[in-house]
Amino acid sequence: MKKSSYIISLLFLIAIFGAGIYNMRRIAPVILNNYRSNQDYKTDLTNNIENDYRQNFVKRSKFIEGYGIVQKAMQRRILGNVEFIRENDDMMNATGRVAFSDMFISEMSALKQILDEKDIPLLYVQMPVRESYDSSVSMELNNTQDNFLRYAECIKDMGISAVVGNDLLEGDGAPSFEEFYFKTDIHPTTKGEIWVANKIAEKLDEEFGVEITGLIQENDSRFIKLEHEFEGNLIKSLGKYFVGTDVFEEYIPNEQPQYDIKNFCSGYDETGRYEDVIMRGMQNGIYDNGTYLVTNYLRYGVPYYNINNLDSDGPNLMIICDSFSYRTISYLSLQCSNITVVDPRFYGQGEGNPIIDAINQYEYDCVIYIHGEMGITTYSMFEN
Amino acid sequence: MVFSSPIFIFAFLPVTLAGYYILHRWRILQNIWLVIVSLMFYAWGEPKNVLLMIASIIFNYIFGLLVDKYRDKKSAVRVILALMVITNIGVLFVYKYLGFACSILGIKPSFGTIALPIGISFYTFQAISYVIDVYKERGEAQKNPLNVALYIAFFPQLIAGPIVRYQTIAEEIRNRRETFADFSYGVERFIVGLTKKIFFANSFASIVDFLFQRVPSLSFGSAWIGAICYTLQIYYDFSGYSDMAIGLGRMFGFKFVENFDYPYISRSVSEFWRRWHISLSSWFRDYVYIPLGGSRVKTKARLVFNLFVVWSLTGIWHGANWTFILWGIGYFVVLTFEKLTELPQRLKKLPGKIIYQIFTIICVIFGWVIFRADSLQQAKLYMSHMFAVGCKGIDTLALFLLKDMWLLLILGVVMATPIMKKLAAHIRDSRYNILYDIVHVVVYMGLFLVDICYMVNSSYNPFIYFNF
Repeated sequence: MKKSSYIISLLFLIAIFGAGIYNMRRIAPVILNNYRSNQDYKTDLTNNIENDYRQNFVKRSKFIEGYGIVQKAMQRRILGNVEFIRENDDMMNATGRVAFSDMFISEMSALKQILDEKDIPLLYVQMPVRESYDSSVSMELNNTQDNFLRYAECIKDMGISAVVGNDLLEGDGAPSFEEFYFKTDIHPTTKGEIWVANKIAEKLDEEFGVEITGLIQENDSRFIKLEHEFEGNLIKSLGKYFVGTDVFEEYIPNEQPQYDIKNFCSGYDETGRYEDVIMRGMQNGIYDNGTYLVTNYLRYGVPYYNINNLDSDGPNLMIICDSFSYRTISYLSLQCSNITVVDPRFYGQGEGNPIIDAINQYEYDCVIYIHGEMGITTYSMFEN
Repeated sequence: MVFSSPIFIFAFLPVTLAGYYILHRWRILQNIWLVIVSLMFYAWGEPKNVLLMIASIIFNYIFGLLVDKYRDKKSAVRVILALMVITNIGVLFVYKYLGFACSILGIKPSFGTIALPIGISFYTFQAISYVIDVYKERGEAQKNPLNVALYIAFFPQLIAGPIVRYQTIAEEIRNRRETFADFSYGVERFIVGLTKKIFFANSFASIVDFLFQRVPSLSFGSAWIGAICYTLQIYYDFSGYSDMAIGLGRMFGFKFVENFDYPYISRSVSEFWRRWHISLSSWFRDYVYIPLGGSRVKTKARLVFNLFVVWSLTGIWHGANWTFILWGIGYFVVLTFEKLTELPQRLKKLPGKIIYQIFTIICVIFGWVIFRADSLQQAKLYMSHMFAVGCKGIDTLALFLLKDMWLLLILGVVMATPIMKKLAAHIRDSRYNILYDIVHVVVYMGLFLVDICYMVNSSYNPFIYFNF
């Protein structure tokens, strides 16, 4: 036996005993705590323990970065369990085919009818398709491109006003595709969302005479701009060395209006400044690359709520959307008197039909459907 | 619990090793410790079925004693052996094949679906081996049931083999010698196996799963990529597990038989089966084929019959599905052809040899497609795409997969041959052996580090042979 073999086994023993003892001291309290506090934990005890052990492994994020480095060295572009794809331009994308939803079409038609009866205009905004940029394989895996085109055609046939897909990225100062989306996250960048907010305002004015003035612009001097290194949800299991990181920009207004936010599900009211109630407080916390800043805006997980800007006499809007436009809504809210946010993905927590109830209760200047990703179309707008 | 999980490597293994070597002065206590941790290892994933395994240990222990006691009374011993086989195979049948049998007969069972206990096919075969080896006097009957428990339930080989014959480790159960050299060898084998599993098998597995989920839309190119990836996945998955099992055995002083010997370099299908899952094929050879008369029979019809029995059983051993039966019968056809024509032996010249080697690997690849398919219909459709029937030639997905996986595929193919082993031996024995020592340590510890990165990151860790 070579001496090197003995060295290998010694190093192996040091590694498994060293990391074993260190992990045990660190993870045992987590497991015990979960065991005591969570009844469901016991139903699949061994799997839960294994998951906790893996999730809380010492220096896990460093090992994940190591994994990303190996994947990069291997020139892999299909990652995880075929969950992620690295595009030609290093933009990350997610796979997972979502079928075209006939329900969405019929519900949009029904929504238009309800709004027509009340003489409330409807605007459909479709985000650019993420795989439209030099990525035939993700198109093949996801088929979002074709489905989004079909949706746009259906919307047009229904006579609904629309800003569709890549048209959104046209105009002076429009962000390029790479500027519109984070490369490491499924969501649009702050620049992208500011652009969408302005496009919506422009369209509302053009088509319906609904005026939103003084909207935020990029590098707006009325705002404090913060920049953070950001690792999005498409590289959480790959680490920053795989694709790199993004910059997440946050804009905090110098003069912050007062808000009253009413959560229809819990009946809970919150009042406070933009920074206190529209933003979620992450800007005041300790950042690391794992802080998921996308969720620093509005109410993730809440199906419908009112954002009442007490210092604005701007328009009254309802916006049906998913998390692709939470920052867009945050910026619009600075110049609107009221915005009812409906996120059908989180229905099931309340009673009644949130959209119809709200339309009957508030006199909206316009209802806007922001179509961020295919997934949202599988959730009914009307069935709670 | 799987070997390639952080909790096994950083919690279970150190505790087991520490307990074992603390008790190094007392062999009995060491064996008891190994039985306890083995039962815990099994109970971790299968808390209910551990009772079934304990029952299997108890009744095979009793059968072993009875066979030993009545070995001079032929009729009595035959009855005992028949009872032993009926009991073991009966349990296996109930848990593994009853549902399938009912579906063939069109019966809707009132008991619903019976969950397959992990590793039942492996430990049942080991249990049968124990009693038969006692009968054949290849090893003595254990008076201490804990020793039988250790033989059947020893955690390294419990879940997915190798199927360790009783005769192989009968002596080691009581008298074995642990050395640091053996331990070091065990560590190296374990790291090699872990890398095969984590780095290769899991990487291929995700692509294979993805492609087999979309069989109707596969192109000719994608179908071949999927088939080749599965061919590599199953090799790295199973041989990786065997390496880890052999390595762990060595850490505790046990020397298990080799289970793989670079099967994809075989020059005939017969040779492939001498190199693939050696412990299973030799088990069937020694406990089924040879007792039936083997190849030393008077007629060719009898030889064909013997081969048919063995390969049908081999197929169905892998699972209760027509795909496994067809897979086994496919091998019966090819192996019968090879036995009757002796074509591989007759091909002396190079072109013929190479052509037959290519034929062999193509047979193996098609075999794995049948093996992997969920149904015969899926297998048929998949293979039709491999013949470019009713599908596109090479689509963007195939090109993308090739671009994505070329390095992994090349490494996968190279590492499935003895090239690296020979190269390492060559360097070790050359004047550069000082360099070899450094590289040796760096490579093994580097691989271990990469394995940890993969393990800690993902819970995607399927073991193909756990299903059997």
